[in-house]
Amino acid sequence: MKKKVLALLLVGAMMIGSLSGCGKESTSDNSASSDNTADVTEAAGDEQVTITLLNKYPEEGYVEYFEGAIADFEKANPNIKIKMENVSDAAMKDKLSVLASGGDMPDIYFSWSGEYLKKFVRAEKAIDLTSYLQADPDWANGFLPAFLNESTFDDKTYAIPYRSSVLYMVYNKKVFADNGLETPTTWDEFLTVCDTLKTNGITPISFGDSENWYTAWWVGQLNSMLVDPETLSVDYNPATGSFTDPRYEKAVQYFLDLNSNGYLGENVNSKDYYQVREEFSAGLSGMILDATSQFSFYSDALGEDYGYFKIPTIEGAEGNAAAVTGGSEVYAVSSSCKHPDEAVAFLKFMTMKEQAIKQTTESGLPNAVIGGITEATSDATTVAAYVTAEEYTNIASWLDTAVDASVANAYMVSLQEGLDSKSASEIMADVQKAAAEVAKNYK
Amino acid sequence: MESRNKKTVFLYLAPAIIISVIFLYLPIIINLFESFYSWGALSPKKSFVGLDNYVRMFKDKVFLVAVKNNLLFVIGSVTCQIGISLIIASVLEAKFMRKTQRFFQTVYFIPSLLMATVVGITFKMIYSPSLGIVNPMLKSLGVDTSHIDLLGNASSATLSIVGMSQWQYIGYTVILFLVAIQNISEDLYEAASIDGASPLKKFLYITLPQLKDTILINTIITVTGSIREYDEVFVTTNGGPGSSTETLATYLYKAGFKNDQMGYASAIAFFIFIITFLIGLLQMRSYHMEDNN
Repeated sequence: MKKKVLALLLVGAMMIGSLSGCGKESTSDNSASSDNTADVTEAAGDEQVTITLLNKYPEEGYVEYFEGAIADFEKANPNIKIKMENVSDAAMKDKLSVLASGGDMPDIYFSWSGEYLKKFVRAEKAIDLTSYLQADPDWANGFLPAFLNESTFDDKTYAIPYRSSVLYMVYNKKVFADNGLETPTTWDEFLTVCDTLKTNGITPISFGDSENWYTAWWVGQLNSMLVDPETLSVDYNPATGSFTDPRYEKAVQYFLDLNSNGYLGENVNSKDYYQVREEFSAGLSGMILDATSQFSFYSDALGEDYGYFKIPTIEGAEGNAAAVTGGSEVYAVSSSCKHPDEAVAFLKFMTMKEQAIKQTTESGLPNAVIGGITEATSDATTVAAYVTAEEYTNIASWLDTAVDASVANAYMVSLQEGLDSKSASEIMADVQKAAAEVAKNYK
Repeated sequence: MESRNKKTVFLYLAPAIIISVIFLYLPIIINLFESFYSWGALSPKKSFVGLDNYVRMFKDKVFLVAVKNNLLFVIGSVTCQIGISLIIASVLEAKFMRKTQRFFQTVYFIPSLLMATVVGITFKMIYSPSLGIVNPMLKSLGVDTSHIDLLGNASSATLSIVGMSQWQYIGYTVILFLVAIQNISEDLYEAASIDGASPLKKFLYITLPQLKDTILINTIITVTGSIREYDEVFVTTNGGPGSSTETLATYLYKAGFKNDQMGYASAIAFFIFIITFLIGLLQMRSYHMEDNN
């Protein structure tokens, strides 16, 4: 008899153990609307609250900063605990899709601004943070407007930017001086620079596409230069995108020409970004397309020897000349978060000017606040790049996060083939097919 | 007492049954249902499309490329990991190799202990035209290497990964075959020697028939492994350039988690399931055949 009881107990224990993983947390009390937030705060005053955070910086040098900041926040707010999970850049998109389909979103999650964030907004996975921002004008007005605008749709702000990035051409000052070159401002001058470097036996532009996202930076930028903003916003919207405008093909052709003229170096499809930026840092090439968020790498590698210039403009192009590819990384609060006030309190702590400057100083990640990039936080070139960025009125999101994922994928896969032999019109045919497929789902 | 026993038996079996139903059979059935819908984790709606996903699958060029690549993996793996490793194993077992057998055994076996990521990154470097050693070696043999970029050219990328995979796993099957060969009774070989059989004849008429089971099992392991091929492709080319090295598993993953087309991904998953299931059936049938004999 005893044995039987024991057996029953064991079986029971095993079953409970095996089933507990399937249970979903109850989300019945998640809809704390903004009008009763005051009560919630009071009620939560001495209650211990745990907020989960999905972050994107597991690498050494970054993770220490975030852990330190969380410790500081917890010290100041003893009733709130932040549980951080860090996932690498490449794994983030997959992780977020998996989480979104599983339904168990972390309280605060990382996202890219623009269309990428919009997907979560449409799926009602992010809460509207406008009321929190309005309640604290100091906080709301501290951000560089272009970056906060990137997370605002129909006058509602859904996420808080903490890292900003703007795309520039980075060049090696020494290589340019040795070859008697000046930084170009127009596309024709740019091609002349490339040609001179090639003739002198130096790879003009470091480029590697084995991971296939790097083309999205180039073509996204060329799209925003060649296509007028109205057409762009129609095509970048998954419900209405068709990409049939001939200027998209022209943008792809501009990029493919760089490759066929040999300006991007050899064997681009078997080199990746990390390899080519080392090549650039070793002085093996003249230029590389990169974002301000990566400038600290070049400052470490080349010191004063690296410079930047605005991506050369194309004469007669119909796009917005003051548009540059860039964007911010943001934190959104999940609609299933049970303690939105505490979550927002943490976001406010992380993005107020004092902490934002600390972020840039300690981790090198450029913040998104006005006057946040100074000689004290970054090297002179980065500071200058941010001053230049103030001339830009419009930020064009990274192509791979600006359009629907399968359209972006069609772009990147076909462009990789384009670097081999595929033509611009064939590439756009693939993109148009993917866009039509996506638009069908919205009808 | 009898019925009590039955209950106890059932109680002991229950956890295993419940776990396999929840985590194995139920997902397969759910997956089949999901494949009849067009939906994504973040897409606005979920609509019933019937067999559309399957129709689309067989018209999809990338899917057909993936099937072709999986077949290349199957052919390459069976040739090398069954054919060549069987030859290596019997050479190692030959009398004149006995002394050095352990050494070669270890040398062949070590690669299969490495992680796919380590091997992938190493081979990415070996194959690289700018950093690697393959191109300089070919060049010293007088080959024009200006257009050779093993992983960067669509025409050579898949075969390069297949080759890398053989380098890694050939030693594993060599060991399995060696053990099996050592279990064959020496008497058979002695009897054959007395009858004046040549080494080749001994291999064909003693070793091969005696190894039938091992060959069958190894073939099934390599074939199903080739159909599930994911990690090596993911680390080296991630399906590129373009989609030339895509396999069923990498394409399934991209369709689901990159393109957010979960319905289509479910259809691909079910296709993979059917194929591996058929191979599994084949395996069970051949076991039965053994029993009957």
